[in-house]
Amino acid sequence: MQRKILSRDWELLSSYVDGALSPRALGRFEARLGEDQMFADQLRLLEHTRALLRRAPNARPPRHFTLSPEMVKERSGIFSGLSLSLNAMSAVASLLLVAVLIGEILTFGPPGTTSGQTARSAEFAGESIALMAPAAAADAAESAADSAGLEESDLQSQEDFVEEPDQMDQAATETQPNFSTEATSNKEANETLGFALTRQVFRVAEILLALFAVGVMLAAKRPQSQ
Amino acid sequence: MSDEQFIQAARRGDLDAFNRLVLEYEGLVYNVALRLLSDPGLAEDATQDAFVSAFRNLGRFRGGSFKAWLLRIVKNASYDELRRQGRRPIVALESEGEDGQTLDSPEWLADPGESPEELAERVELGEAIQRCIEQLDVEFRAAIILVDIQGFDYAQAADTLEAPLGTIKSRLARARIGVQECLQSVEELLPQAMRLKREQ
Repeated sequence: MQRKILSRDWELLSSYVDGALSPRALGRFEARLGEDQMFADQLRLLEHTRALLRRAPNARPPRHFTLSPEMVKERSGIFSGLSLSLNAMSAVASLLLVAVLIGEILTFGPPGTTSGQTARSAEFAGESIALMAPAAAADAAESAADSAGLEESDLQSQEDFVEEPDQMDQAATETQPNFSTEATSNKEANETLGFALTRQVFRVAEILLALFAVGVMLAAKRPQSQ
Repeated sequence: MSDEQFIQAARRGDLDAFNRLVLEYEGLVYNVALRLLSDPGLAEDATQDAFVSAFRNLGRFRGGSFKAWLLRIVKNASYDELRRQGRRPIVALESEGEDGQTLDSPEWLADPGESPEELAERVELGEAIQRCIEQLDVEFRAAIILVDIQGFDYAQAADTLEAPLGTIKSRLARARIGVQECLQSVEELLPQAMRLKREQ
């Protein structure tokens, strides 16, 4: 009986030639050897290959590799200095990372939360933009009329496109008190933008420091010897 | 003195004691590097660096097999070099000694009673074996070099290569098949028994 040689069989054959099969596996192996000619042939071929490799000569080293005090001293100094530097850099980067994290938490609160100031600023910014829209439209219409040299009577048709005069007056009246808060709103919006930018700077700094600390730590911990 | 005693002395800064270990293991370390890198110059550098690194890091040696620890150092250095090259080495296994004599030249490989033709064939077969080893993945290469060429047992190879025993068995089996198949390209150099099997 012949069966196809599977990769598991190759491992069995390889272990057998090294005498590394367990007694139980050895029994099954030898039983198959007696009934599977292809298996037996492969075993003999593998034994020859192994014998060939075992006879492969070693090369004679071109010289001795004994160390002199100079070799050890010189290289040892450089490498240990480098390793110490890397360790120190890793420690400093880790401390900076902790400092930045604490700074962010103190400034913005724990991650995932939005401070009241930020929410309020966003709200003001939204209102400001909404209130400024009608006034801006009227300004744009007037500006267009001036530039075209139109008489006031002709403006009527233009006004149709915008708003009735009384509506404009009403809008102006309504927006008047809000213009007093416009400066505040702009200020709040600017603060919001500044806030968001600062937070992004914190986050970028955290990521960079974390990457740097890990990279330097890996470099310091991976001597060529281990 | 035993290895352990030399190591203890070397840890106290006794370079002569460490050099006794160097002399004992330099042939093995150099040959493993040479088989892995297939470049005598690189193997020489890797061997020297490995001994310097071993001396410098003796404090990290936690006992066990000094030979395995030493070979781990040169294996890592060789892997780094192979990664740095980003390619498989293509230089033939041949080097010149201080006297200009090639290291695998007939003068020192010759067995007494061997004819020049037999010697030439053996050298050629040795080169073919190395070429076949070179074609293997570096992990398989390391397994076959340690177990089949240097005669390590599975446990020693696992210790040196920092891999489980089962992994070593698997890598070794695959490496042997790879070399066996590769060697069929130089059938004329193979022993008769291997050629017969090939024909069948």
